[in-house]
Amino acid sequence: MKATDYLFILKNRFLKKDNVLLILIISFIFVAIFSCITMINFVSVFRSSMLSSDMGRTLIIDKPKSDDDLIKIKELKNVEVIESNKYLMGVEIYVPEFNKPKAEGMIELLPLLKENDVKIIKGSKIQNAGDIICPKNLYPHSLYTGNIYNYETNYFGSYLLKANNLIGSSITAENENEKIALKIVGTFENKILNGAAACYISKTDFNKFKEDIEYCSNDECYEYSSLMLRVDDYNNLVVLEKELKDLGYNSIRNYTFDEEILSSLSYIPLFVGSIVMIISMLIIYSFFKKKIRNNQYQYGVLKSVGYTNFNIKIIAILEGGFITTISILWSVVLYFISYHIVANNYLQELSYNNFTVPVPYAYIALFVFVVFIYIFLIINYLSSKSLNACIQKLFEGE
Amino acid sequence: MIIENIEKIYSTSTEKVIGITNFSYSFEKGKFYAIMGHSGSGKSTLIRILGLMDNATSGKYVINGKDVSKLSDKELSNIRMENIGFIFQDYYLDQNLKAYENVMLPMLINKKIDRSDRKNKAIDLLNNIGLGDRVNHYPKELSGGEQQRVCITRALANNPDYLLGDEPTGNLDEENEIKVLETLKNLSLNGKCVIVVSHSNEVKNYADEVLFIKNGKLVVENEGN
Repeated sequence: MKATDYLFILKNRFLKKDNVLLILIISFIFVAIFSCITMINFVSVFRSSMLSSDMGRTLIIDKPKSDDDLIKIKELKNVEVIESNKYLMGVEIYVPEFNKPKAEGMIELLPLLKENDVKIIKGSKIQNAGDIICPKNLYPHSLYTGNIYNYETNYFGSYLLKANNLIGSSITAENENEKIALKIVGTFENKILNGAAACYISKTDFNKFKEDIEYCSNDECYEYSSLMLRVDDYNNLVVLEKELKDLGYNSIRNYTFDEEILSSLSYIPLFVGSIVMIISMLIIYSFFKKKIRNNQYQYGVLKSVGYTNFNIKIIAILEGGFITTISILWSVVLYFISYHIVANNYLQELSYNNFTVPVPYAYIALFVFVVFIYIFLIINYLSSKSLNACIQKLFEGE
Repeated sequence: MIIENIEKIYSTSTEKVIGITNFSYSFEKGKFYAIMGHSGSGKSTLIRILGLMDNATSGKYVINGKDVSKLSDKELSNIRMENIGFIFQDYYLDQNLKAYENVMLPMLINKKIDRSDRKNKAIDLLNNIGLGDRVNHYPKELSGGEQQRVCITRALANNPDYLLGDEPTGNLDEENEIKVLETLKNLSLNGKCVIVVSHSNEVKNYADEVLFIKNGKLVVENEGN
């Protein structure tokens, strides 16, 4: 039998009411499973992104007790940067040239502590005083009022500046301490978990905008005294912590993760996903069981006119394959629609920080593959059973 | 079609039930056979075995000179396709296909019928049986009698020598029953071997031979009309 002959038999059955219902049910189940897979993947990627970012690889220790200790600390393996804690956080400045509707012209200045902290993609690196480099997609706006995320600022994406076009232009940078002209000399790829408004300047320029005073209390002011240490790889954090401890210094991680919360963030979708998966397998099984049982008479007739068991199984598998394929395509469409709704409306803070919730294509593809295998196996099994029973059905009048 | 000492025993975990036993007979082309008996007598078991839809537990079955006792599923399917047509009490037409498409179903696996001829052949067969104006109708748009005639046409699609009917008039009114039996009688007169299992006494009026089965055994063998 040729493929067209199989299609001849199935053509009017594909979009029957029971098949459409089955497609809708399977689609919604798949969307739920895709969402769980995305969530599990998100937690894992988010955690590793946080840890591997500059900030995530940073430890803070008290001021060394002696110069000898400072030398010993500097000589520790895997230490990439050792600086005053003053350089840990950037400063927010106002750039009047960037002040446009929906973008108030605020950018964050960070000190470039190590040349290869950023990879220049256009223009040059910082060479002179007054040079500034910015991410290629620059959003000169603070999404925070103080430390609180401003949910009313919902214009990220539409108001990005293409910083490549700004190379060579001068901007005025001002805060309460300083007002100087800076020249955009280069751009770099937006860094994950760096704000889209974060640009780099030299340490010297940075010092003009940020004082050495950390805080004042009772008319007495205190300078930054603690040190920040950045390790080359976050997997070496534990080793460095131990080495510092051996030298008599307790260190604090700049980012501390509540592993319990992260685990639960990961386990909840895993748990929900497993439950949905088991239930969906049972639902799919019972739907196909019912479907093949309803088709028993037709299988019996086909057998009576000379179709082999193989021919009939192919018919059953093609119909199941069609239902599965349409369900998967439909669920992928639904998934991407819901993904974009969520990403554009609820994940703007992450987008601002250059973190895109990844679509786990590989895991989804693996799941789809497993679903096809599963459905092939159940249809094969159920149709084999049905072929034995269909003859009885045809003649059960006696 | 010759069967010799055919026996069919259904085994369950607790007991063995005899379907038919020690059954021998020779069915000839050009004759109309009626097989009669009470419910559970073994009529349907016999028709299943004759139609190669079930294996006998023992005995010999020869169709067109070929012993079919030990053939594979594919070989049996091929014999069914070429030599046997089934007519069912409930018609079992595919509700999603038009009348002519239902008739085309058996032709799809018959390499002897050219792909381009299938549709015309199906329409010709429906014309011959008096359903020329119903070829494009779906089964639900046809009366019971018309559906049964589509079922008969489907059974004739590959021009088999043997037509096996399982209560083919069981769901029909008297007028349609007569129409269907006349159709089957004409087919036997045209050289087909028609074997019909039925409760209806009307069938006897058309049969060349009437076989009575009781408890799986052939008990009486009558000449019909």
